[in-house]
Parts: sequence; structure tokens; C-alpha cells
Amino acid sequence: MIAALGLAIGVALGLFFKPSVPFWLQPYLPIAVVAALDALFGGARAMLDGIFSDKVFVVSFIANVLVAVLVVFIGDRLGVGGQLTTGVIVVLSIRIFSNVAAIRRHLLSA
Amino acid sequence: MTSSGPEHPQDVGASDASFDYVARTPDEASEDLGEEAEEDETVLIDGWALRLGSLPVGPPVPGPPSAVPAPTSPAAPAAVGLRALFGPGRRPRARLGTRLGIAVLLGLLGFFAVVQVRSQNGDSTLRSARQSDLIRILDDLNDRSDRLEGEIRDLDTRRTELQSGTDSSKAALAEASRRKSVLGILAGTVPAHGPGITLRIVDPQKKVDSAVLLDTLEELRDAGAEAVQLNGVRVVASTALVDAEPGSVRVDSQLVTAPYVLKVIGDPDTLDPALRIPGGVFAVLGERGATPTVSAADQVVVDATRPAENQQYSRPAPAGSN
Repeated sequence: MIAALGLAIGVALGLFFKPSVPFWLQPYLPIAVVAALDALFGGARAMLDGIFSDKVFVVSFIANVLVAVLVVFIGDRLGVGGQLTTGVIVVLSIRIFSNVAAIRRHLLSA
Repeated sequence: MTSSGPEHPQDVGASDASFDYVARTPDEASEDLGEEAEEDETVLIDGWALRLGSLPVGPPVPGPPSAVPAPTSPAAPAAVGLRALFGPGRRPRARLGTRLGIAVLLGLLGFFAVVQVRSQNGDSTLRSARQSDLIRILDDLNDRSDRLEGEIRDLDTRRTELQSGTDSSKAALAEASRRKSVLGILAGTVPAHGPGITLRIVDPQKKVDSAVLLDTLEELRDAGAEAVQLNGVRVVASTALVDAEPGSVRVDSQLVTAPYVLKVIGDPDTLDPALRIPGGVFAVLGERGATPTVSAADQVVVDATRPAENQQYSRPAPAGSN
């Protein structure tokens, strides 16, 4: 419940303050958000599996975001930032799809 | 669920946490291993294979019962799942600090997701465009801006030209209206008023003929008369004086009888002496027994007019042409 509250507060703050994304953050913010979404879905799936662990969730959340951003950052330095961004997005999307599929099987058994 | 290769059940949580969230219990991990042992070729999609394997519609899962309960009825897993998600659950509640950390992380996620979504609201086509496309768009815009700047310069020049043209045409219009009034007075098409004299010629012996009157008019013109009317007939350059019955003269085919009254606009101090010079108009009139009287006035009104004559054939020659 506290988690849902935190999510709501974050969304409300974002809507309220309407900050603009700094230029250096622009390539990495969408990646970070997608990585965090992946961790979120993974957590939901783990919860349904009954194996949710707070510590693992926090660590995987942060690590997911950092690794995704780091990969894109290195890609930018190597001149393949766009391609690596696409690659990371594809990987994360596949993971989100598989997690959502698992959640769906749990909730709808279909 | 893209873990590749077998993992030790003890460190499965830590290694999974680096990129893949779902921490598997030793039970599930062993089941995972079992699956992989069975199907070595499906390493990459072992997650799918595992999930399919745990479904009731899949092949029967061998081995010990997994953490995911194999449901016997379709309604059972939904109930379990919902309870796991939203209910207090069968797991022990985490410490408050960890839960707060999760809340903070989710808050950050929500915040940045909203920020990112908002930042995409603007020029989404430009944001998603590739670099080469952006360069092309920039080139196009530069070209267009150059073109438009050139257009601005042209229009500015034209505006300046038109403005000066307006000014000069205004001046020309004022000059033209001034000339029109001057020419109107000269041509006798407009009434005129101004300082001048009134010359009254009483002709009891009826000996004042057109020649004498013409001499009088010429003398007045020499003295600077600008507008003249003779008994209600405007006298202009083309005026003709023709003798009629004694004591009367045809002025432009209008019969004018004595006494003759000439209203003259001009400098009175010049007109009056011009008439009195020795051997001049007054002398001739005196010889003919006529009595001229002159009265100067500040305002002499010449109100007789002539219709304007339209030039049917002649046109002004352009300046400078021979």
C-alpha cells in the first residue's frame, strides 16, 4: 500500500511541477523508465509467484535502471548509442512481455 | 526470464537481481534445472518453457510441487494471484524501511515516467527523427528562411518605393490642383476675386467701338490684369470683340451695350496709372466723348465664367520632345 502511495505521489509531483528534462538526461530517461517498468512487472510477477523479496526488488530495480543507462551511455561513447538504445528497449520489452504474460496466466489463468 | 545456464540454488537471488527480477526459490530453481535438463535446445526461451510447463494446459510437470500451485480449477489461480498482489498475503510483512524504499523507487518511477511523457508532448516528430533527417529538415528550414528573408528585403524595397511614390504623387497632386486653379482663372472657368479696379465707361455719343475696348483690354493686360469681365462676360485669351450697333459690342457673340463696366483683378496701383498714361486709354476715350471712371477696391469679384473647352485633338507633348 505504501508502494502504491509512493507511485501516486511521484505521478502527482511530476504532474504538478512539470519539470523539463535536462538535455544530458534526454537519451537516458526513457531507457531508465522502461527498465524500471521492467523491474516493476518482474516484482508483480514475483508477488504472484509468492516469492517476492523486498531486498531483491530494490536491488534489481536500481541495477536494472543503472545497467540499462550504462549500456546506452557506453553506446553513446562508442557511437552506437541509437542502436544500443533500440537493443536495450527490445530486450526490456521482451522481458516486460514475458512478465506480463506470466502475470496474465496467474490472474486470468489463460 | 532470460537466465542462461544452470544456477546454484543458493545464489540464485543475487545473480538474478542484476538484471532479472524474479527470484526463484530453490524449489522453482530445481524445477528450472529439471526443465533445462530435459530440453537443452530451449535455453534461450527457458522462461517460456518454464511458464508453459507450470501451466495446467502444458505437459504435466514432473517432480516435487512448485511454489506456483498447480490449480485444479480455473478460478483458483486468479484468487491466489489477487491475494498475493493486494492482500496482506501469506508472506511476512517486510520491514518498514524496505517498504519505504520501494515506495520511494516507485515514486521516482512515476515521477520520471510522467516527466518523460510530458517531454514527448511537444515536437514528437522532430524528437523521433534521425540525425540525417534532422540535418535535411534544418537545411530546408535554412533555405526557406533565406528565401523569406530575400522576400522581406524585396518587399521592404517596394514599400519604400511606394511610400516615396505616394509622397511624390501627393506633391504632384497639390501642384496640379494649384495649377488647375491658376489655369481656371486664366481660362475663365472659375470665378475669381481679389484686389483690383472697376472701370466704368459711359458712352453718350456711342463712339466707343470694339477697337477702343480692345485697346483698353490690352492696356489692362499689359498692366498685369489677371481676370477681367466686361458687363458680365468673362474676357479670356480667346475672347473676340466684334462691332455691333453703335453703342454696343459683341463680346464672344454676346451683345454688350454701353455703359461698359470692366471688373479687373490686378494691382490697382499699376492698373490705374496704366489707363491714365498720356495718349493712352483715357485720352482716346476722351476724344470719343466717353467718360471713364475708375474705382479701386480690395475685393473685386469676377464671377462670370466660361465653360471649359475640351481639347479634342491636342495633347500635351512630353517634356523634352521636339
